[in-house]
Amino acid sequence: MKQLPLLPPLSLSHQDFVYTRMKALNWVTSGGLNPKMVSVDSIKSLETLLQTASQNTKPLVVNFQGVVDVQERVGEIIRPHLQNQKNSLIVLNCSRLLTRLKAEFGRTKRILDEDSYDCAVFGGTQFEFKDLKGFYDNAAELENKTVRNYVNLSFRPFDHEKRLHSTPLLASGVFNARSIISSREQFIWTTLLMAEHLERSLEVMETEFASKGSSGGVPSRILAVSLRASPIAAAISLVSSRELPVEIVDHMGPKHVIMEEHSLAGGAQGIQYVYVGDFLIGGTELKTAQMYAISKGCRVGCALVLGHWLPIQDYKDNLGPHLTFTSLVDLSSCRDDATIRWTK
Amino acid sequence: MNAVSILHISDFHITDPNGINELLRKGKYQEYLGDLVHAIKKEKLAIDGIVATGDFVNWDAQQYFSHAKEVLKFVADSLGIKIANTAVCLGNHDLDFKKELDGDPIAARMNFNEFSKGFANDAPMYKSDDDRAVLCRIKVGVWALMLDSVLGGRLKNDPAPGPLTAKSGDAIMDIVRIVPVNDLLLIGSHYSVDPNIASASDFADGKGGNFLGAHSWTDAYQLRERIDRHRKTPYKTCWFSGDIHREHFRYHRNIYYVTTGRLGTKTGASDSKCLRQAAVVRIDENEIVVHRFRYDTEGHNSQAEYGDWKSDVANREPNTVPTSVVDLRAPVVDPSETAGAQVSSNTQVATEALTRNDSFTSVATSKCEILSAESSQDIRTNIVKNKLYTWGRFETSPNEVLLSWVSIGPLLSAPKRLGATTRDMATWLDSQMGQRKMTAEQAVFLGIDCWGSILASQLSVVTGIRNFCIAARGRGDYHTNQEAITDEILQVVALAKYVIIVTDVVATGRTLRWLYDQFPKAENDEKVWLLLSVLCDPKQPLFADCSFIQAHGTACQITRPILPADRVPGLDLVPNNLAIPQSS
Repeated sequence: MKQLPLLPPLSLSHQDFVYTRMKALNWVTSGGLNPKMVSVDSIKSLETLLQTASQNTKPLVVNFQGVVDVQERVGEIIRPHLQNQKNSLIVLNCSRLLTRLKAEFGRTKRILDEDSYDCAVFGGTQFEFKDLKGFYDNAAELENKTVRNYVNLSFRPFDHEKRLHSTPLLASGVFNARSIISSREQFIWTTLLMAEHLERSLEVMETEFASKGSSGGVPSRILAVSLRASPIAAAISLVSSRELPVEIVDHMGPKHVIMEEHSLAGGAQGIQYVYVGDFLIGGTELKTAQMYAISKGCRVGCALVLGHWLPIQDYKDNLGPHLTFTSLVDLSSCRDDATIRWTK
Repeated sequence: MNAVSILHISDFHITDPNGINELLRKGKYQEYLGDLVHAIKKEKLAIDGIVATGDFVNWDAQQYFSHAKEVLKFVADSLGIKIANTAVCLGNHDLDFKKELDGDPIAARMNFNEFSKGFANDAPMYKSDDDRAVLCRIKVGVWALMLDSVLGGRLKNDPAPGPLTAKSGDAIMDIVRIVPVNDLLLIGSHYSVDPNIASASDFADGKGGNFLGAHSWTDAYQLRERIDRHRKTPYKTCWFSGDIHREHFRYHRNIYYVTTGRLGTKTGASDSKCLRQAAVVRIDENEIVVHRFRYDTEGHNSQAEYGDWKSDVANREPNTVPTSVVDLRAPVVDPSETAGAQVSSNTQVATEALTRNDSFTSVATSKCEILSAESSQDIRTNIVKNKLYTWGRFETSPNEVLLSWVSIGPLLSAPKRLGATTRDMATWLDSQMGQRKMTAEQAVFLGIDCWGSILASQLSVVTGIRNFCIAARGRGDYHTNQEAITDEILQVVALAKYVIIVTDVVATGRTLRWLYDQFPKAENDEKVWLLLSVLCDPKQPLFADCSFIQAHGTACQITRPILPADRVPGLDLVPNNLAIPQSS
């Protein structure tokens, strides 16, 4: 397959470093077939990023979160560059793969492992860390800020306040996830971050389940019930380490018309879903999805959305306290011109 | 032209003329083929000529060419035709392997050329300088162009077609131009040039592998296109091939492609599942009919030599409306817009077909290429295994009723299958980008509804091409304005040179047409529209003109019949399994 240009979209620029996720490079180069495996093609992309970072005299920080394997002989591509680079390649979340990485990338300059944070430095001169957690925080803030900016840019103001389709609210405009889905780099960064949030939520649920023996277990399937949530849900399914299958219902929101009623009949009972949505305003779409799940003898155990408007506790109060709720962006504080109020 | 009937046989694979397990062995073949001739005569088919497309002997068994000739002569004699009316071409098994590998292709073909003596090839009208193409005449008005698709290809354990240089292609075209376009041209090559043969299911004894690379003469695709463009008269060109041991019959543009299973085989268990077959192609002014003759075996695998020849009509072109007079690539004009205007006869016919609500063959399906034979089989197996194919009455529009439904959700819900489908689509697109010199910046994806949008967004990740998800069901009436076609999309599409529609299923074609009609067409608009789908039925005529689609790749081809609503029993007799809400 043709190697397409990866720069600059698949890296984010911080004042101290250039940042990327290995899973993003794997996703692009494997055609979605194996985003968890570092391949020869994805390492070539990394090599390109390394060169660019070096030109900017910044270290390249690569987050290996969710990467489970490294193809053999990838080191032959990257090692000569690491030997010649003035700047370092800093690998985050690599403890599981450290032996493989050392075999492929060569000697490490430094390995740090503090609490739940780990990092390995390859090539270049030694990079000085003030504190490892702070470094992780900087990387996370960079991603969060980037996605928040995408959401901000997705806002489409109305000429005048209009009633929303899903819930009887008057809005000054809408956040439209289509603009994020339409742009490759926005789609990649947004869905990767959502997938990571999902994995964290599921880990917490698993821990609680194990310690308290709470009922219902951990969600095993992703549910999306709208046009714009579908690509997001499928991407999360594809890149998440959990490999949860995705169920699409066409469609419950924002307008509600079921197009294939016959396909909703039957199906397995007892499934716990992760509801994936784009933007949650009043919560109507999520509530409808919950009813769909309940009518099948299933339940929604976790909701993951790109943005939300009301305080999260309000949704929990309305939709059920058992619901684990995760959102990337608080829309109410996103833009001054975005207003929503109750209709009379 | 009077009707012409050509017997197509291929792949004798004679291993041992005295072997007890050989269907074409001495003393046995007369019974086996005598029954075939009897079956052909029973169908009142008067054969005018024979085309035999190679692999007469098995794995370089040069010493058995004489027996192969005896067999072929027996068939011709029994049918009452001269062997001079029989044209043969070389298969990859027919070479003297050692001499070919030693770099002496002339010597490697010596035994085959000796075998060809007496056949139509023996009195060629024209030959290319490299002997790769031989043009001979079967009878007045019927020409046979026999091509060597093996030259320079791989042999032995990993056989594959040979390369075709530009010079060689030009030389073949020079010969093709000699044949009057209103005469019938029969082309024979052992390897097929029809990329659609990948859809011939359960390929080659289930061996699978890199199907197109190993069995499709891809280097000759350009030659095929050139011949197609040159010979515009419908039903005047037939391209015969063998090799894959499976059947595939398809009319595409102006060429009818015939791939027939093997005639000879051993009767042992390992070969017993082979399709023993012959085909008679009857070509008329306005119609091509393929009569298929299969040797249906009885008993267990080890007794596979016992059987009977059964015949049926495998394919007929045209299916309904005579496409021979309809150039569906010509623009179709809405009759309300053309009142009083002068329109071409082709357009009139196409428009009439459209407004009569008749079904007609469309470029969108006839151009449909399988993305990957392996994945296609995987999807099909999954549909069967998980019972995703439902038979019933499914109303997707007021005018047509689908008789079946395939649930796409469960089919693509697993991340691995979604990833594999994306990869196959991206690979096909990569090839289109190469052929058309297309860049990511020149193109845009339009993902239709949920699954089209999912696939388009994944393809966008891989290719860098911008994508938009579009609500098309109910023509967008049940979606918000932000999910419909906005000004931004109109602007992006207006500037794009390539528009790639991504959808889950191609059914009536009305949604594709509707989408196309949403975008204003500039004068001298040369925009190229491509289509990617998960499922398509290439035999199902569309109900809307989708001739704007210039290439179509599909993950799987599957039969999904559709009937006009007035041809389906009333709802009181057959209730709906599904009625999609219609746009107001």
